[in-house]
Amino acid sequence: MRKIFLLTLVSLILVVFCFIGMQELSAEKPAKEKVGEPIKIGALFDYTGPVADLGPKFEAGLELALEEVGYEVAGRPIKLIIEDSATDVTVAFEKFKTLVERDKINICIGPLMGDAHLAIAPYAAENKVIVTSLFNGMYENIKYKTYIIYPTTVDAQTYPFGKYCYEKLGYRTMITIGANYAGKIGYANGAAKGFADAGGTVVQQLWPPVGNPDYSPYIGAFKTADVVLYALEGPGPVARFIYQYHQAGLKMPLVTITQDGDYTPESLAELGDIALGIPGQSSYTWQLDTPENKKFVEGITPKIGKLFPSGAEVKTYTLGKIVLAGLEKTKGDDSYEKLWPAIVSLKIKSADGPVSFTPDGVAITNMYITTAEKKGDNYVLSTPIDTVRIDPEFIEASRGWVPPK
Amino acid sequence: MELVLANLVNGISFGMILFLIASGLSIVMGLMGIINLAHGALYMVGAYAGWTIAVQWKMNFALAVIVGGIAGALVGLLIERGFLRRLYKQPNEQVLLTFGFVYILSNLVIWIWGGHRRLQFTAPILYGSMEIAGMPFAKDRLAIIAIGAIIAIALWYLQDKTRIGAIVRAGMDDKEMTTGLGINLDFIFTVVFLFAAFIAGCAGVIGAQLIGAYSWLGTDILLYSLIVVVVGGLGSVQGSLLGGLVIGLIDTFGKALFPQFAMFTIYLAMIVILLVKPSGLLGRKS
Repeated sequence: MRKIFLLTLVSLILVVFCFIGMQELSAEKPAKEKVGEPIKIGALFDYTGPVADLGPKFEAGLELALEEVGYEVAGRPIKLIIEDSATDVTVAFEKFKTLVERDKINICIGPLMGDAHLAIAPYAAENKVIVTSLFNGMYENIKYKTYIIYPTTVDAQTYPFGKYCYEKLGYRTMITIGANYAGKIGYANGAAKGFADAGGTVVQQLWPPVGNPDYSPYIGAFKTADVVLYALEGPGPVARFIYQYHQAGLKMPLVTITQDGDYTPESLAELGDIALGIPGQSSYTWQLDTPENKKFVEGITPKIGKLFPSGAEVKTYTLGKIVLAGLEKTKGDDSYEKLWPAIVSLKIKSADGPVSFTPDGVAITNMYITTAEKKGDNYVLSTPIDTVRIDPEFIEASRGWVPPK
Repeated sequence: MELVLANLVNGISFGMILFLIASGLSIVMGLMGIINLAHGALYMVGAYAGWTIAVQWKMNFALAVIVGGIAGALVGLLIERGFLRRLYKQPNEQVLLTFGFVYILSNLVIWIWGGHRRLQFTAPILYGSMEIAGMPFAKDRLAIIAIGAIIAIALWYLQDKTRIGAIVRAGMDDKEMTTGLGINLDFIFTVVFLFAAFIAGCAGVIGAQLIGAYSWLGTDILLYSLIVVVVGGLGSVQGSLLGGLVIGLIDTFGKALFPQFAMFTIYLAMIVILLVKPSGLLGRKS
């Protein structure tokens, strides 16, 4: 009897925890009392899994964009519905279906993972739901014309950085190590293509699985090259790799991509001096000297309680701005037929720089070369060392990489 | 040659971590017949407790290892005294209960320490690498091998050369006879469970030098440790050590030499070993 009672009590406690958790994760943001049916914006962020630390950052950026307009556009209130995509393709797809079928959204911000976008794209096209990428914009989804591929395709984001490694940094041979999923494969291969097109040779490519805890076997398998480019799935894996690379005592210099997303204040504070001086490709740095960025940094830093925002917060902030600008243009009409052409005709200036679009919905943005630096006692992402405008030609030029044997 | 030597050190150090966590799991399963799926979560709790001591409060790393062990033991005490002792000889309920604790402890860890993954940490003296025969080796990995070897010798001595070890072995072989000789097996069970949880907590801090601490660490390391227990054999320290080293080396060399099959190498090894020796490499014959 006592045993049954205890088991029942434990089960009830577990159910309550699960219920509370589900309520938190699928919380609808309150809309003010406004005239007109609410515009429903869905969002898929990762609150669990290998990149769980990015979910709250993405949420903060999007919330800031909506708070700046009082959760209202063109006289219609905005209802934001967020689900946890759990860094899992299957979960992301199921949650997307829930947002479309239960919540009747017409636009979705995220998810993060490129593989999830590849899975979602046909269903989104079939249901005429506009989807935006966060970092991982997949070239394969251009054809559906329901995608806002921001900051641009993964390959095109890093293609100019590959050229930079050859032309400006002077490296001639490269090893790449990238997380084994579509997004980071695209990033690594885009940089490899740029490097090779400039005249360099990629001698080795390694692909550890997502969530890999120990990079030492891969580090131990490195051949010799002028530079090692790492493209791992988030701040945690990046920090782990840098630490283990340093512990292994290898002397080949490191370079990286999506540094703005991976060099968060928390990870830099933990890495300390060993993170300094690694050049990287970023689509944003908090030290950009523009009025739009200053306004963003002033608004987001009290919200996140950190020294500086990373690329995660600015991505959803800019995407929020893009969606709001599109809705202003359509006077609040959030149907695909009106909103899609409105968004791709936009030219705006956001915190991460000027944003415009190709007719296929691929964003044209800036690429910045950055590194980690020490300011006083704090480790931060630097001001841009160099700036490159992503040329629309890069979208095709970055494709067709043939890996080394 | 460098590839072989570097990954030999990597594989043995990883294998030592697996041995530390699997040894406790193996003894608990062998003696008490309890399938404690929360054992990996105890490792995780130890890692976070150690992080608080060594990184947040900037105290001694050795102290962090002890505190990690104590944290694991306290949570283990709660689980064993509060819940598991009511479920002896009920394996289905044990599995459900202990798996539930994995979720509870993972979410507690997120509440207390946040979802942000904690970087590896080590004692300042173990930071960086040292050159041996012209090749760099990570100091923390060499230290893990040394610590693991010392603990393995101590556990083997405890198991094979002490009275308490004899009682544990007797309890594994024949519970009824052991109880009939007037030995309080209930008390022994609790002590063994606590000791296993303590070792798991310590292993969490020692292993944090390689893989840090994160909220689903318990699930990740549990999978590895179950494979080590199966491969090494239930109920023996020597089996856990051999199983840990075998799995550690196969996993490391598999990733280094066949990265496209990195997800499968240890499972293939487990299948082959079980086909040849179903009770594991050094499993106790029932």
